[in-house]
Amino acid sequence: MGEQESGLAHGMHIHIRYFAALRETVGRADEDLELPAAADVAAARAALAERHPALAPLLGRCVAALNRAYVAPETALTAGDELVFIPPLGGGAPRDGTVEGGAPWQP
Amino acid sequence: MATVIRVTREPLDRPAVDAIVQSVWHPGAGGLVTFEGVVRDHARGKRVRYLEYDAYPEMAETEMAAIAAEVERRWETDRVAMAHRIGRLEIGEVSVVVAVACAHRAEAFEACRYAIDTLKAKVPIWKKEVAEDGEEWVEG
Repeated sequence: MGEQESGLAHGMHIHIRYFAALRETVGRADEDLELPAAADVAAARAALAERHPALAPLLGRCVAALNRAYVAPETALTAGDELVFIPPLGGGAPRDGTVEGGAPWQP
Repeated sequence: MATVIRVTREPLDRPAVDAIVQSVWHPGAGGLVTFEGVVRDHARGKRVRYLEYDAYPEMAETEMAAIAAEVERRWETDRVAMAHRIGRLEIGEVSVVVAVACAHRAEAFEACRYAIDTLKAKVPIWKKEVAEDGEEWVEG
């Protein structure tokens, strides 16, 4: 929506930021990624795994945050979005049942 | 509204922790519970030299504020404070503080426990354990 006049009929750019193990693996804190206009989070994950093969195993264990909120893989992307793959959190050992919905990276 | 929501590189030393605890006090509070997470010298059989914390800071503060709002709604308090330090932390230093004030102790304990457990599970902050025989980003 609202992107028809952006001149990006064949693709769009989104912004990727890296933290923790991902940042150390890629060797940078952020980069831009060009994707087809209708791409979703899963497509972005696949594109990054192809660009950075060393990242692929780690990406498979990440959840996604789009514009600073957790989202599902099928969530559609929009030009200019900030997408972050969140590596597993350092969580410690919470009491069973305390955290409703469980850890966010668990399906 | 939470009294403190903060991701910081500054030490959470005694004056800093005291100020966070003080921020949640109010005249109707009968129970005030504070949790401090402290850097430990061992993990899974390894001797830890120090920890490196990394955060997605903007999202971390958003998530912490959402947890505080949930605590305030469920336990009927508007006095929740959460602060997490990032960067290099030495053994014995405070990495995270959660303080909650409620009318009575039972809900203060419950609310504080819920807040720290949820923070650990949902807030995008990671730690790297630097041990004597190597280093690794630790997973839940």
